[in-house]
Amino acid sequence: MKDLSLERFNGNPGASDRGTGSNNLILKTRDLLCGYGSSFRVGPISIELERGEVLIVLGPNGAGKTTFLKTVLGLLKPLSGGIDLLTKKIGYVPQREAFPDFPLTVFEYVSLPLMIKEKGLSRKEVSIRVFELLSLVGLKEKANAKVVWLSGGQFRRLTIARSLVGNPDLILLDEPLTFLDLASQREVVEILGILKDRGVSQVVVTHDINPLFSVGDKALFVGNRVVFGKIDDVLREDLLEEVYGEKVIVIEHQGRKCLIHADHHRPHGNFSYFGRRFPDG
Amino acid sequence: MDNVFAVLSSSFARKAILVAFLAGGSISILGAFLNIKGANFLGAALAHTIFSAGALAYLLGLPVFPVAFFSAITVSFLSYFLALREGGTVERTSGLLFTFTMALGILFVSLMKRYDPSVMALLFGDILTAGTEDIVASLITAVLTFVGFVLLWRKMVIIFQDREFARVIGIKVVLIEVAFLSVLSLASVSFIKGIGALLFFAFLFSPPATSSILCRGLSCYFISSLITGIVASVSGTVLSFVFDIPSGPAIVLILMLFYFSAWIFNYLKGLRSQRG
Repeated sequence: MKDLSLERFNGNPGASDRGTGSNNLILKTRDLLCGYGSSFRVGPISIELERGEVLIVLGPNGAGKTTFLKTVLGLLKPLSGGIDLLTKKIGYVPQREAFPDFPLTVFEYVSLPLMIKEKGLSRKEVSIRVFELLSLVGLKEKANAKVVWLSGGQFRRLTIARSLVGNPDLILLDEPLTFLDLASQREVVEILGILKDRGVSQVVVTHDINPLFSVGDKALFVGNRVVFGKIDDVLREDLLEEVYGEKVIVIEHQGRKCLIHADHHRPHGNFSYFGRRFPDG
Repeated sequence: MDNVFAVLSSSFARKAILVAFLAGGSISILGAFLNIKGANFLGAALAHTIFSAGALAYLLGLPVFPVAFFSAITVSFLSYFLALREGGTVERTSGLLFTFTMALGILFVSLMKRYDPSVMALLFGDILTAGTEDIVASLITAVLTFVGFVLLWRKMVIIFQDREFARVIGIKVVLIEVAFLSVLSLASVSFIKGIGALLFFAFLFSPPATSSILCRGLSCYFISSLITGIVASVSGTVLSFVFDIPSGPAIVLILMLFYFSAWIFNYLKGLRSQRG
């Protein structure tokens, strides 16, 4: 099968666009098999994502969620199958970026990639653009602070601001909520909602879908079985049990869904979300 | 003061000060990038590689510069790209190669039939013997360092901070890494005869460490590293002439003075802001 991931680097997105037959489509994978040689493989994965849609990639630890994301980004070569990436304007929020332990301000963290992606901007234009992005993620007041002074949640919001340089049509976020407290999770999800409203498509890799129900449109389950579809269609207990190999319960409260492990009495059961999402319960 | 002017009037002293100026400026800028990458130990590996390569060259009667440059390129590329491939840190691979090259150096020295002071000079340097060739090599390295810095500093900061992100935004990551490692290797060879392996490492490490304490942003960080490196190297060299002491220790002591001064300044500043 033709490897369409190469077309992105050859700057020929139009050719892929014609092949899909949909102007709204921004990302499509066809029987995509990704991994590291014969030692680790995930797929085949076939998905379609339209402009403004949010795809949640979910699955157990080590299932290959990040591998899928890196393959879409072009950081890993697909083992087989094809990727139609119908934009060159892509943003990326990495999974575990360490705090820079050298002098680097919040402003510089965003302005450096901005000046590389959007060449020819004057100093004033750079400043305006950076402050726009920092305002979006609520860090305008921290512009002159050292990055290392930020909290974990603030730093995660900063990485999202950085991913927005170049006005991307599609952002790929790898575990954007990991290690964040509930308030910080809510702030990040709110930002993702704003971006969705602005028509920015998103692929969000996570091990916990619960905080993301409000923004997610489609879900891709990667695990013992690969499942893709609209969230409401695929969020079924039988499918989840096949993906995770464990019993998972889908509960609904005030129109919102939540996944919890079937074994309620486990010490690390997924009840922490009740406090925030279901204050009455 | 008269002593200083007397020193500056001699030709060999002016040459030594020029080499110190170029070495202090160039190596401190290269070290600032290594500090961002968190790979300062690569400097130690390179310094001791030059020592072992020099010993091998003297042992076999080969020209030192090509042997040393080839060895430096090999070790810097191996340290860096092996770490990327194996998913480890550059510090780990540099540490392994550092001990390996140091062992090779000692082995080569033990095989020499007679003691050659030129080999030991590679460890401690001899800036007073800087000749025209050394000045030309230093100038070429300094020009490459500063041209590369002016053209690529933003991209290099992003690469050394987050390599994957750099690839995603379209930076030619491997090309720039190869260019940086090549200039770093060239610097280790060009300057090591004058300043020695130990001082080479000190210049890579101390100015960025001092600037990291003092600065909040990148402009301050790079400018402060540059100034710290140049002032320490030039003043240390002049003091060594005036007081007739070895230049290497004089420079290192001044670098450490800067570091502790920065630390105390930062501490007092913190105390004042707490009270305010």
